Amino acid sequence: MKIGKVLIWLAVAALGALALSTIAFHRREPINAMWLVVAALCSYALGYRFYSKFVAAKVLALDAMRATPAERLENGRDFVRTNKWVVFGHHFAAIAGPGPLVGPVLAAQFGYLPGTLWILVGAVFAGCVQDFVILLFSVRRDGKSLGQMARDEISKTAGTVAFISVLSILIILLAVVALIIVNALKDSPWGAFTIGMTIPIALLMGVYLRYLRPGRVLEASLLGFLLVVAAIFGGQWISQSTHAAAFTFAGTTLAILIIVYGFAASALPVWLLLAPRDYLSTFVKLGTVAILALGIVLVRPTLQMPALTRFIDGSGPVFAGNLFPFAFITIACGAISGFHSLISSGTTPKMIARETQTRMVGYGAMMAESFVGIMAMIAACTLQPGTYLAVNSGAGMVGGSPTAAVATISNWGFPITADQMAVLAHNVGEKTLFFRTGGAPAFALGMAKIFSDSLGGTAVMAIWYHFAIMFEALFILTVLDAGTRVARFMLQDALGHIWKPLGRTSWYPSIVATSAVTVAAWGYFLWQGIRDPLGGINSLWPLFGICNQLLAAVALCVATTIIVKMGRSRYIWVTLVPLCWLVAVTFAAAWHKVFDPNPLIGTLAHARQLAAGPAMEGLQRRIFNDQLDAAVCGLLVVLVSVIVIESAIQWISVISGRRKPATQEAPFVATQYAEEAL
Amino acid sequence: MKASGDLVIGKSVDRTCEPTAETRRRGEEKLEHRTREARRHGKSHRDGVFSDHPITRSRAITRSHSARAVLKKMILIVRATLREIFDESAYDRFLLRTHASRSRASYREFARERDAAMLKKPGCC
Repeated sequence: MKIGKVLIWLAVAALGALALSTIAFHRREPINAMWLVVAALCSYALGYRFYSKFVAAKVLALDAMRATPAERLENGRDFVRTNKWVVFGHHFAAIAGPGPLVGPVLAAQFGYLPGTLWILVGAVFAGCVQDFVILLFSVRRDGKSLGQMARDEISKTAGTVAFISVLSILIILLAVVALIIVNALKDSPWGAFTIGMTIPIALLMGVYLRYLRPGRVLEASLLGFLLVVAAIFGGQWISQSTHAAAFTFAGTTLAILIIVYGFAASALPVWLLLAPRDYLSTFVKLGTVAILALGIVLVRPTLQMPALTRFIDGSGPVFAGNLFPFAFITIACGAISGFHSLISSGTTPKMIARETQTRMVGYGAMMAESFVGIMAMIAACTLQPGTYLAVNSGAGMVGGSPTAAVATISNWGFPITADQMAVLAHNVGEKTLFFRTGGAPAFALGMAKIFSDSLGGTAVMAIWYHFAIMFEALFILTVLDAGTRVARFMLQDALGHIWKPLGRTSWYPSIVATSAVTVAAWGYFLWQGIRDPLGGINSLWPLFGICNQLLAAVALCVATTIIVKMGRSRYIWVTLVPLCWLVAVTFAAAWHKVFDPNPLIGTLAHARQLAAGPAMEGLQRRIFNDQLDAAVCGLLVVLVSVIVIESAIQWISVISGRRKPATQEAPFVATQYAEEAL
Repeated sequence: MKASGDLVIGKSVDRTCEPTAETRRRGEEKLEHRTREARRHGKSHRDGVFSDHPITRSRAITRSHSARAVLKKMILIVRATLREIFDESAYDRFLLRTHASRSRASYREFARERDAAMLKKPGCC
């Protein structure tokens, strides 16, 4: 390396170290958010330049001369050689969902420090590595899915476990995202109208694309975006008119509406609702993430949240649980997310033109998503801690009324008054902001604050707040309908082995039946969350985090097994260390969720507390819900234990020489683009 | 017919194989010929920005360090990325693959093919 480059990288390292030490050791006064941005950018730059290069060269031995499936199997449909920047954008758009926005906001209750460090360290050493290696291994196996790789490289049981894990995570994910949207829209005529309007807008886009201007998706998305912006202003008018009551819904009503929507979206033709909504959501997502980054750089907000709060002891009102392990399952997307392995072994490997590009696409896109997580953390921490807690805490955690809530929160050392909350609610066009658990409203508030500080001031804060709510809700509804369809498809695929007609995706009775089963499954958990006096997020988000991280553990088991079979056992630590960490985190979290004696954390303790308490309506159902959560958690841990043990047996037998290492890689074929590779 | 897929760009060169009937129709030539031409003009074939897909070759843009050229390249990349994300490039590829033209009927066929893939594509968390 030339001396100039060495000096540049030393400067980057020094700047990163300075930023990280400022974040970590500055205690007495608030720090500027730019320290987080600088720390993140320097960490990503160093991680990409050195660690990912090491993984690419030593562990994976990327071969630019090897033809990728996009070249060998090119069909102009699934397998298409694509420019690396285009694949990067495509992959980022596919992996970025509401997770990196919501997780860091919830974890901000511990202060900005733990979440920020986990996002940076987790992404550089675990999340980016997982996405990168799974993408490459899928490329070397003709674009096989994670489940297929688990079956081929570990065992049939592992493939089945991966299938059940994916289905479970989908169900829990859908329930959680639906709960977030319900909590964001309840008693909000403005929000409910705006989000309600996205459904006819998506239908209109579908018709536009099909009949008026076939294939002009960008044009239709721009039109849809303009209509959604008009709907935001329409929502403001509605909320101030006599029609407001018609769009003011309680949580339970919204839950029913969303369940009905989920069923309809799953059963309606894809072109009519799912596809246009997906386009619209992506359009808004990319634009909003870009302007949020710009807003943070322009405003350079000060973080009001302390580095560490008293809630690291597990007494947090947003969700109960100690810093370890709960901070690490609360932030999944942004640090490491098992869900990404599904995308890395889905469409992306079929578009990669050259093996060496997997580094930029796999590792690089995850870094971009991690930065979205940092931005969400900044947005949450720019709020006054008292405001953040009043918005994000369930009524059962801080008191049933606004007066009780502000008293409790102020007693914790985070002063807030009911008047301040009322003014803030008025500024954003809401009646109240108390008890809006789920992270989305807090993120929207932070985002609105950043946007309004850079453009328009308090006068337009309400518009920015509802823009942010619309952005998140659009995101979430897209995940909801796409996830319901995928879960339905997986269910049909499995049921097709029992009775063939059930597996036919064109047979309407099967579509309706499996859609109903899927919606009922996530709808049940959603209903449970809505009726939970602790806010629902307290029980469901950790469950989702555990599921997601367990899926990451499955992906890392597959990756480690392949590395061992490739004869690269001395580098096994690259995936084994993150795997061990994830196993420790998820198993500890699962243990706490099931057996912790604190009823706010342990579901069985909560069930016992309910049973010993006074009789109330729906008592048996609530006890059953707790037991069900414990059973789901336990089942997933057992399943992942099976896959970890099966993998470990493979590693030991290969390393000890008892078994010949044999991977299922596609045979080497030299690329026809060799000249370019040189 | 000028398909909008023409704007898909990349750094890779096209195949060295004989052009297909479709590429011939679209006025494309063999790589060697193009490279020879480029060398004659003192340029390497890598100086050009080509499509990664042999039948959606883009206009060649001379690599230059001028701000205008860099900006133009960036705009092309962003546009190509958006077209890929929003399936516009996929529709163009479908049209080329099926020798169809842009119409309601062809879009319906394309949507049927895409919908099957979308069934398996989870929206990420």
